[in-house]
Amino acid sequence: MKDTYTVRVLKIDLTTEDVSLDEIGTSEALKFFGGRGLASCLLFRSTTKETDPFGEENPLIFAPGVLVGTCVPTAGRATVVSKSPATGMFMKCSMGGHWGAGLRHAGYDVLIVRGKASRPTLLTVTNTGVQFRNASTYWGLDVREATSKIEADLAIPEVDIACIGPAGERLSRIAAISCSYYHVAARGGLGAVMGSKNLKAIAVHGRVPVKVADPERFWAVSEQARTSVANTGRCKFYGEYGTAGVVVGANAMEALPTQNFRAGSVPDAYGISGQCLAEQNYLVRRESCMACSIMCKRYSATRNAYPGSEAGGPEYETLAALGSGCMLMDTDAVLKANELCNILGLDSISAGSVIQWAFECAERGVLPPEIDDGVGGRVSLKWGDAHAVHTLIEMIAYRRGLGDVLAEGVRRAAQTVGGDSWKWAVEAKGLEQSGVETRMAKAYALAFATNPRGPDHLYGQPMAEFGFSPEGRALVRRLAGDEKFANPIITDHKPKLVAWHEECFAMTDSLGLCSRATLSTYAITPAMMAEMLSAALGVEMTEDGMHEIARRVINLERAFNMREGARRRDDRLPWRVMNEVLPNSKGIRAINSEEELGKMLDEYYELRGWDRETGVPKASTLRDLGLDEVVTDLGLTATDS
Amino acid sequence: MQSRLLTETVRCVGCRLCEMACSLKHESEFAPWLSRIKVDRTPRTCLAVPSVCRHCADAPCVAACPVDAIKQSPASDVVYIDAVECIGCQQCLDACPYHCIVFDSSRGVALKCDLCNGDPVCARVCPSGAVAFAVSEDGE
Repeated sequence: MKDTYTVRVLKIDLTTEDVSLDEIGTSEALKFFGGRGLASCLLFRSTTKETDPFGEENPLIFAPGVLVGTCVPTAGRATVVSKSPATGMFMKCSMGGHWGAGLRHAGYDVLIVRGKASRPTLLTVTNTGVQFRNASTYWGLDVREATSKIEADLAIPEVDIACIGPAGERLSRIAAISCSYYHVAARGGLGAVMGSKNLKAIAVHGRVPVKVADPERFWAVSEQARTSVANTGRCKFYGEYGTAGVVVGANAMEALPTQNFRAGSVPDAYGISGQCLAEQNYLVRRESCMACSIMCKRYSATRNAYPGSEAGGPEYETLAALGSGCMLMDTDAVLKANELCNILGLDSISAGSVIQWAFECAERGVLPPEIDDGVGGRVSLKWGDAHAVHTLIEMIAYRRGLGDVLAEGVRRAAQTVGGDSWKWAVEAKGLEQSGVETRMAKAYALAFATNPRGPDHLYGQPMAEFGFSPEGRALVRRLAGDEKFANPIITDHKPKLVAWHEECFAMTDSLGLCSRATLSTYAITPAMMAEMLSAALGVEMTEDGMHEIARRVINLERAFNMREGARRRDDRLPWRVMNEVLPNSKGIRAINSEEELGKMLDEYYELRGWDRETGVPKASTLRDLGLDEVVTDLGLTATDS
Repeated sequence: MQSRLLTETVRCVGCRLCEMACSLKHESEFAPWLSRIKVDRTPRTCLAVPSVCRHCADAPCVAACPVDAIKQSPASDVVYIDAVECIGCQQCLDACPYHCIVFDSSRGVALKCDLCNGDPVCARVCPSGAVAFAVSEDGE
């Protein structure tokens, strides 16, 4: 293969302050696309079962997608991978904003950070070099304070900064990495991995151009993608109302997680909706990540309470977790909670989840109804109590009082508190479930169960099953043979749907695009992505070729968890959604049962070429994908086929 | 006949598609710092402000150029730089009140918007309407 594409991997050791560069050629890089796929491969190779997520040896790998820094719509995302302190397994996060493009302009495609600095450190990565700076004056500051101060101190125009807040510094397993202020790599506690390395922030800047092999061809496919985004109804909807716009529809479908997943709707969801934010002037302005023409990002401010509170978002997930989930339906109070998570560096999904769980613990007598806030005040653990939600977020970030327990995530918190509290800890694999009601959406149920991160929406996202849009229905028709399967409560053909979406997600992340364009709206197709790669890298890529690479990435990420000892038993959903029927008015017995999930898992494993009993990829499957090295690592023999 | 690029800050979402389209069109690579249209971002408040050459009737850059490398087309009023004649003194950068001229230090020349011969790509890619191309018959 012609070497048109060289991936520059910057390797930094914080312990020794060694800096080195690896270059990976076209054929090796394209085996995994680059971006997320390549980062996952590098993570697999540089870790073992023994790697401690908080150990010096655990690498934190940042990889902007292959097309980041170009004019393809939504090409602004960077993947971050590491072994998760929440799950002890594979974790990939993806963040928007402008940081990923900044790293590419500094001249690098992948950044691997290892080791542990002896003092709080700020890394600067520019095209003129890497510097390790003393970050003691930033340690302890929240994300907004620290980022602002670093910007001022560095005085580099257009610098972009990825930063952790107090939650990451205190190794909260639900801590996020915030980049460009409000764009977060949120899930799985990667902020704590950064904290464990004494790494407060990474600033990037540079003036290295991003080149494409065939500019004219690239321009043509960019235009095609941009036109498709502009003409897709769901994209317009997200531009108008943001992801928050989904709240009202989810509530009407009785699929809006409410009161710690005990219900699927609230009497009136308007107050926590994107429509409310826009119509009642909470929305200060719309924003976009780098190169994005969807414009779903918001910047919002409170109006009637908490004066001066402003922040990026809120997103659908934040509103579900901290709003309906906590029964906090006051718009201003939810915006304040969103701001606190943003600036203290917490994953708002997980923060909302542990707070809901604490409220339920108090209601059921496992925790006292009122607790100390750790600084001389009291907090009532009561549904919908704004003071409690805000104070608990701070207590978690600073590990004060009960916050110290909650900062460990809901699985570990339940182990500490004991009793039956694990039953209402809505998690699997150690990750708090994101805001989709899987009892009302069977493809999502399967996707959540098989997701190597845990039960969340950012690995598969099979939104086509709802039949919301003509694009989604057309996809279901193509995959399942009939549009009637675009129905969330039936299980037929769902494994096929999930597999396609997981593969599309792997391409999306690896190219650095946003799932909002490729999955939830289907405006950008795998065929378009193949054309983008072809034009950018000077290789000829087909849609089928894209799916094959994506399968390789998925198998490798699966293998990571298998190496950790995960098996079919871990592909489960939280106890609550498998044992308690979701009340609804539609006459549907909404629950995820063992039988139903088991049948879908059988079909799904068959489709993937994984062992039905164990869920481990078969040696033949791995070899067919060129993953021979993984066969050995998993201890499989030639007969395991 | 006059044509202008109009910018509207309240609509700008800071996606920088205009910068990337501009640099691809003019440089055949993505180097937003060489874009003739500039988006100034304030990430803390998610504010973005686009600015682009106004092709002023009495252009200060034209007056400032010591070698007459900056010219104004009599037919279209487009102010453009003749890269062959530009000596890289950067006086035009200082003269422009809108900071809409960039300097390519690798080639030692000033760069500015030439309206892409009447079909500016920045306006074409702008998703929010913050950058628009307007043609008026009477020059108003």
